[in-house]
Order: sequence, then C-alpha cells, then structure tokens
Amino acid sequence: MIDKELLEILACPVCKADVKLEKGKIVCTKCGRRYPIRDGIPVMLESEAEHE
Amino acid sequence: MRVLITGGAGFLGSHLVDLLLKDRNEVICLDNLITGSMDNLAHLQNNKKFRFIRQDVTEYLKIDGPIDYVLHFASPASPIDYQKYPIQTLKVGALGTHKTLGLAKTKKAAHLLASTSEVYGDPLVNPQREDYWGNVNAIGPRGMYDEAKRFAEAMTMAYHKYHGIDTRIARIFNTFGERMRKRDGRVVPNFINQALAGEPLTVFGDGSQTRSFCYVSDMIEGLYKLMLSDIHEPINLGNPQEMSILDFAHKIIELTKSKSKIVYKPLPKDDPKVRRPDISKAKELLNWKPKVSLEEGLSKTIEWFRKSKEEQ
Ligand SMILES: NC(=O)c1ccc[n+]([C@@H]2O[C@H](COP(=O)([O-])OP(=O)(O)OC[C@H]3O[C@@H](n4cnc5c(N)ncnc54)[C@H](O)[C@@H]3O)[C@@H](O)[C@H]2O)c1
Ligand SMILES: [Zn+2]
Repeated sequence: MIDKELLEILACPVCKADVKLEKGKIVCTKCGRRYPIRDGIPVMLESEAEHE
Repeated sequence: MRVLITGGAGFLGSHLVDLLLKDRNEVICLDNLITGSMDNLAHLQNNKKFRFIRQDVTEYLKIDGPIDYVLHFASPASPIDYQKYPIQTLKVGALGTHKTLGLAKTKKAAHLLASTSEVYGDPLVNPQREDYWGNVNAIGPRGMYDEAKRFAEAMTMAYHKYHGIDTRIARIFNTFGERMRKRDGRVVPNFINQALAGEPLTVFGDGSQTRSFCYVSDMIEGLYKLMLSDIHEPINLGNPQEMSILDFAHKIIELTKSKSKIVYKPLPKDDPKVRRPDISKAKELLNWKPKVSLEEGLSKTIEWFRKSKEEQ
C-alpha cells in the first residue's frame, strides 16, 4: 500500500487535480480517472487508467 | 535536500539515486519504465527517503512540496532503444525537458539536464571541446536522439537566460558499468556477452573507429559535483582515454579469458568515427577527473554480467 506522504505528492497527469485513495486505486478528484497501484507503485499513466 | 529525478530506474539514474540517498538526500523518482527496470531500484524498497512514481514525464508534471533539484535523465539512450522509440525520444527531450524546467521554475529549484556527447554528432575535431558546435544529420538514423538533446540544451539555456533558472548541462560521454542493459546493443555489453558465451565478437567496419569509455562510479561523481556547482555552461564528462574498437575487443577477450575470435561487419550509417572528451573544463571548474582504470572498471562490469547471468 502507498503511504500518505506519497499520495500527497501525486496529481492526475491529465487534469493536474489532486488525487485520493479509493478501494486500492488512486482516483482523480476532478475527472475521476482511476490509476492502479502495482507492487506498491502508483502507475500514473493515462493509458493505464480506468475512465468512464 | 529534496531531489526529483526523471529516468531514475535506468542505468545512470539508478546509480545517481544511490549516491543521492547515501548523501542523505530525499529522492523522488519518476520513470515510465520504457527502457528502465525496477530491478535497478529493488534494493531501495524499504528506504523511507525514496519514493517512486510510474509516470511519463512528457505529460503534465506536478509534485507537491518543496524540491531543491530536478535532474532530467529520462530518455532512451542506446541506438537500439531510440530507433525503436523515435517519437518518444524526441518527446522526452523536447516536451519532457520543458516540463522538468517548468517544475524547476515553480519550485525555484536547480535543474540538471543529462545531455550527451551525441550533440557533437560525427565530430570533425578530436577531442571534442564544449565550444565545438557539432556535425549532426538531423534526419539520419541517430537524428532523433541527437536533435532531441540539442533541443533540450537550447531549451535549458533559454530557461536560464529568460527565466533566470539555475541550470546545468552535463554532456555525458560513453559510460559503462553494473546495471547496463545486457541487450541494449551497445559495444560494451555486446562484447562482454559474446566473450562470456564464447561467441565471436562483432566489430563494425575495420575497428579503427575510436571510443572513450568512462566507468559509472566516476561519471556519477562528476554528475553530482556538477549538480552542486553553479556552472550554467555545458560541461563534458567522460574518460579521455581513447581506444580503437578493435583494441577494445582484444581487451575484453583478455579480461574474460575467452577463446572468442573477432568477426567484421559493415559499419552502420552515421556511426561516429572518433569520440573523445576534452575534460579540461570539468577538471578546472569541478576539480573532477576519472579515477577508475579501464581494466578495473571492465573487470567489475564483467563480474556483474557473469553473476546476473547465473541468476537468470
Ligand atoms: N549511458 C550513457 O553512456 C549515456 C551517454 C550519454 C548520455 N546519456 C544520457 O543519460 C540519461 C540516462 O541514460 P541511461 O544510460 O541510464 O539510459 P536508460 O535507458 O538506462 O535510462 C533512461 C530511463 O529513462 C526512462 N524514460 C524514458 N522516457 C521516459 C519518459 N517519457 N517518462 C519517464 N521516464 C522515461 C526509462 O524508462 C529509463 O529508466 C539519458 O538521458 C541519456 O541520454 C547516457
Ligand atoms: Zn484527472
């Protein structure tokens, strides 16, 4: 799991907004893109994000 | 200090991360892993001062909190890699450098660009001094890399002059050592692999073209010294000991105690014929020069290739 400090430095690479942790994913507070965490590494790639 | 490094999962980046952490800095690493590997950083898993984010630095860059240095190392670096990813190479040199400079500006941080001796192209003078403008074919098979780095240097200088950003430009010459990718197609891993496997060593052309190889610990020390300096002009970093590729092949055969022979293949287009850094500036301004001999550096590298082969 990723720690609070790491979460704080992250931003959505698409819309620059803050992100929050939700059900094991990193979720953009603006566009709602959901970024995966793999082996403890936040994968902040647009191509890997879930987006409805 | 809090340092952000792009490309920190690569060969040079990961060694620099180690030195930065050893010197008690906090390190944030951004890398999309196109040519790098988490294996290079696996030993840092539980280090509280180290954070890794998988991200493409050509996209928007935003990091909360203070940052003192931004080190831009992200870029495919071997001909095989940049010819496989020509557009990404141009993008990371252009857009990536723009983004990292923008971040440095916002954070009032210093910015170091990992540039390359390839900005000199196929040089018409030897050795190359920083004031040589280069001989580059923009649309040749190496153009995407050479021009990406030349653009990156121009962008860095523009940010320095126009925005007053505290910038550095390292012109890195061929470097080798542990964590080099074994299949990156460059001459050091090629020769070592072939010698260890007892296969013939492939020499392109007649082998009279020269290279100068710098061992990674020397390079990393030079980069760190440059980072901590206040020099905005480009600085050559490399080992001025020049050698023909053929002599180099013999040296590898000798050090690996291999029975391999040498085979000759046609020289690829735009392959530089000579390559040797003039490091007077680094000596004078950084009080730096390489310390590790070619034999010693190669022995360590060969040992590492041997070991990691067994693990596979
Ligand atoms: N190794 C050398 O001899 C040498 C010589 C001259 C210059 N350089 C420069 O030094 C730097 C590092 O080279 P290296 O040998 O360690 O190469 P490397 O391929 O091992 O490392 C480069 C790293 O950058 C990452 N990367 C590439 N594009 C990216 C992007 N868009 N976003 C995020 N990460 C990205 C890769 O995944 C990799 O981890 C490069 O800029 C290279 O041009 C290296
Ligand atoms: Zn978003």
